[in-house]
Amino acid sequence: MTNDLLYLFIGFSAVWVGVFGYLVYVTGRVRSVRDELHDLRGQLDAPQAGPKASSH
Amino acid sequence: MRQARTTELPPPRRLGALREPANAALYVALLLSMGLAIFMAFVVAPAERVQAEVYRILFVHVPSAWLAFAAFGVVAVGSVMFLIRGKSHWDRLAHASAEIGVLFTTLCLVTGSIWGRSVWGVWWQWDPRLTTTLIMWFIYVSYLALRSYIDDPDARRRMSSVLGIVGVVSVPIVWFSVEWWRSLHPTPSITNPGGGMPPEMLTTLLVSVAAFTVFYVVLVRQRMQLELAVTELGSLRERLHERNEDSA
Amino acid sequence: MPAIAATDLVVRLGQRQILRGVSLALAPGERVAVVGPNGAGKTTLLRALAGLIRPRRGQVSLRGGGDPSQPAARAGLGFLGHRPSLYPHLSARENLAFAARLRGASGSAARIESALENVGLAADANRLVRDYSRGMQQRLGLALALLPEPDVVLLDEPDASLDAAGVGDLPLMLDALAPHAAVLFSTHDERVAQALDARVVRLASGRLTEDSRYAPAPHTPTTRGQAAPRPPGFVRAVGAMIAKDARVEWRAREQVPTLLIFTLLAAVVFDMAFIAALGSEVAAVALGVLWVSVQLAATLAGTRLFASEYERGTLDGLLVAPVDPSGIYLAKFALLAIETAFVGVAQLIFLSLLLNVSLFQASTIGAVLLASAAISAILALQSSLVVNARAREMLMPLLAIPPAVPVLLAGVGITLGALEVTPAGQQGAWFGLLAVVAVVFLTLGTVLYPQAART
Repeated sequence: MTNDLLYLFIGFSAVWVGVFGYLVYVTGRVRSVRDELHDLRGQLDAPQAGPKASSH
Repeated sequence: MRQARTTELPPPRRLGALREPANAALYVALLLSMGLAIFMAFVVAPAERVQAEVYRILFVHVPSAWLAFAAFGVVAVGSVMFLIRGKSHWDRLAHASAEIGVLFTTLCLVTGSIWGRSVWGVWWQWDPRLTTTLIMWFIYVSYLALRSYIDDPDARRRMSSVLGIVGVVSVPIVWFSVEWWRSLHPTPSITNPGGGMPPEMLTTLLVSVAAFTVFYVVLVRQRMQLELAVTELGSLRERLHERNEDSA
Repeated sequence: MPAIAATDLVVRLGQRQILRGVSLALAPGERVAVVGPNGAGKTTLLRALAGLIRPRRGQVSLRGGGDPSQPAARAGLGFLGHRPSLYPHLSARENLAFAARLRGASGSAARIESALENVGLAADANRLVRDYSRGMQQRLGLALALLPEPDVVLLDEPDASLDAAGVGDLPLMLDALAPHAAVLFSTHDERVAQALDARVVRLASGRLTEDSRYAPAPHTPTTRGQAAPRPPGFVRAVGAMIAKDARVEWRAREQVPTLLIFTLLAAVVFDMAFIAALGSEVAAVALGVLWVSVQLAATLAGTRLFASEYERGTLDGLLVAPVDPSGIYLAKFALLAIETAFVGVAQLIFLSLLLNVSLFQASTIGAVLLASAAISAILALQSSLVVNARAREMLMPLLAIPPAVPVLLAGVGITLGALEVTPAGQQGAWFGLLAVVAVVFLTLGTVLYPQAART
């Protein structure tokens, strides 16, 4: 009986860990890629303000 | 000229941020439906005659399987639409859906295996349903592998669209495997008229499927946004590179 | 009505925009040179005009309406790519004969001789192309492009690797073999343009910098040349491709001998591995080895199917022919099916001898033949998908084996019946499964390969 419940517990936790883990992973990636995007946009827009652009 | 080029860029969007109303609504729906599904799975649904408690794995196992099928169906639709229309968002949809379909198939196999250990006494049976599901998993893993092995984005989209269409052949095979061959796997008691499932169990199962569907939608949206951001990153890098070449 | 017209052509390759709105028109009989620095987009422009690249925006029309992505419009199109589309294991004459058959040109022997004569290769016509110098290959590539009496000719750097005499011969070749054709070619050398009496347009960073609007040619065309030549019969073209692959295999011996040794090796190694444990159950060893080795051999050969064309640069030659691309899939399917059936039957003999089981029976031979068709229908399509993937040898088994599992199951089912492990009555259903798999994947491949090939 306790064995039964143990398997039930493992089964449910596997699903929750899998699905939420994936969501957290993707969300984290989205965030980091956006930060990088933001940086690059800044670099692209920089020369519009001043002529001293060729730093990269 | 250069200024025109940079202002062509879309404004920074906070895709997927909780602040956006549509996303907020989705996340609220996700939490509510998940909470309800868990409550019903453990409190409302009665214990089963033979298997007692462990049968409740069904409430995550069956939705995983169904959502995997749905996800692979979406892969095929996205692939067909990409080949017809040539718009990359269809390909992004197919890619996102394939990845999540693989996730759900994995969870379906894992939960099924755990249930099998408890009821059959073994982790794995060479049963038609299990075997065909495993093959389907391999097919979509190979779809993801193909994507990661092709560097040219155009070729990647075309080739994986073809594979996304071919792969969906496996879905009906998995679905009908229990009817075509003798199987140990419990047959669907929902499509069976007068099947042995008490109404509380059936309701709980349907609520779980609904909750998983919301989860699927949330995941697909998020995954597509990631892909969009990565693509944008690539083209920004390209632009920066071109511009530095121009000014050099 | 222009012979070649491009309007506002935009081509992106990956993240990069290669052509940024190119418009161009050539009158029938006109010659135009595209000049420009490396990376200007010359090759991409020519490939887009030949229908090898699908433009993101804009249109291409040949002879005032023919879309080069349609096979019929490519009849009468002569194309020389960055690399000439030549099979190293065929002679010059055989290369030209294959190209002629692929284009349905019957009674073309005289034309082939005249092409060889005009490019100065008549004396070397029976030598294998792998023994040709780079310049001779370029001459043969020109002969290939000009072979179908084209009315539209696209040449990517025709003067590349030619010596001074070769460059000097270019106008003569064009005058002799394609006197009325509209010719668009790219070059780094404006003297070539002068020698060919060509109008010059400049391409830089994906844009034409000189006015490229349609202007009447200095030498007005002598013929209308608007009717596209008749495209070849589909079946004949597929037959020509199979015959070409068979001939290449006969000369190069890249596949069949190695596959035969591979299957024998598999038989020996697997037998040694299993026989100790399963000594009394020889049948189990035999049928397992049979089907696993058929599957592995097919995967091995399947990986090379499209890759060999791609690496030699001959895939473009096939795609630019006026044949629906599904014909390429069917020809590759047929080649793989023949090879797989061959090694499968050989394995039946090997195993019968090595394990002393009666595997060599009508039902198992039938199973091997039908399974070869089914597995090849799958693998030919998968092979076309990995053609420009990194490390495709690694990827191919992953792609090829899962969908081939039904073939394995059916093959094992039939063999079990043949060895009288199970009653023979169930074999019909397994043969049915093999036939269903073959038909389903042949249909999918025929429909989907043109999608994968369209760039």
